[in-house]
Amino acid sequence: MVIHFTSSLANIIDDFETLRRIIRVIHQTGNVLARDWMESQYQVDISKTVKELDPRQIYDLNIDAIERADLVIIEGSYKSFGSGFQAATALHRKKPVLFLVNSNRVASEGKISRGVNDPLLTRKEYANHDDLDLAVKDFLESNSIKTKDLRFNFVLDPHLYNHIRWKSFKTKKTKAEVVRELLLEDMERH
Amino acid sequence: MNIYFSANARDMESSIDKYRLIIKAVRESGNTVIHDWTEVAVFRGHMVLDKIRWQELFREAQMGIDNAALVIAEVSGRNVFGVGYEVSSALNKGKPVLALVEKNQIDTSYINGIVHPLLTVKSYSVRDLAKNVKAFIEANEA
Repeated sequence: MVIHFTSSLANIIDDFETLRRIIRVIHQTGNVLARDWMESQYQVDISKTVKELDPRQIYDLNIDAIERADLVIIEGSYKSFGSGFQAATALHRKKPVLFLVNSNRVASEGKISRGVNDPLLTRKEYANHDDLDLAVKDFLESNSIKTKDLRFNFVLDPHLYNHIRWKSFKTKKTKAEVVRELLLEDMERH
Repeated sequence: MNIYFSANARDMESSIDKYRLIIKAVRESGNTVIHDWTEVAVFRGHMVLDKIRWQELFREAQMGIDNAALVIAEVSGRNVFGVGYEVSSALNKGKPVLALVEKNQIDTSYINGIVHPLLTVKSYSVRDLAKNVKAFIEANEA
């Protein structure tokens, strides 16, 4: 899966190992980053001589990354406008979001991040790196395409439609159940 | 018109004066600030809130945006996750947004990079704050 990972720029230097750890779990579980910005941002912050991207480029890259991502992970221990904007944008586009907060920093967390009740948002507090690894792994696993039901459009001509409708009536099963059983039978045969 | 006001609810004691200027400008132009949370938030710093109350505050904010014709957001400072969330929500709901940033912060602000047809970004000093608010309202009056 493609994952967009973001955090406040304010904690890049202090929390670099934590942020790197999240990325490591993403890679170890066979997933890829939509935008690998953190190492270069770290160099920008450390060197103080490398020119930062301008805000418009950052915005465009983040929106593009959210569009391409299957899931979004936000390290939200340090609040930022950009993290909040990206969280709402991702949820609006129906992307599941994991919001991670270091339990030492919960007291300084804002009302919105604690109050969001969107079912696609998972908020997790972590006390140490083991907690953090587990939270990221659980989120990736529970949102894996392998473990989710998928939906697609299915177009039928009237002849096939009438047959499924008749079969559905006769067997007292939904049309979807009829199609699923036919597919399972076909899978067993092959 | 109903107008929702979004801003950082932390450090209210140092911010409330400029928030009051914005709200006063909205009222002077004949409009209503829907779900005005600012005066209560001055005292909230001294309250202990549980999870249920946080969800209630979030719901109230989202309702405020839903029922507003326009949104005005004070987006200065980095610690404004909630304001970022509300600005994105408002734009996604098709509401015109005025984002106000203090003049000395505009160059480094994330909002300065956002390109959206419904978003107006203005840098301000306290002297021209009311003028910016009134101009935005006038430009969006039907």
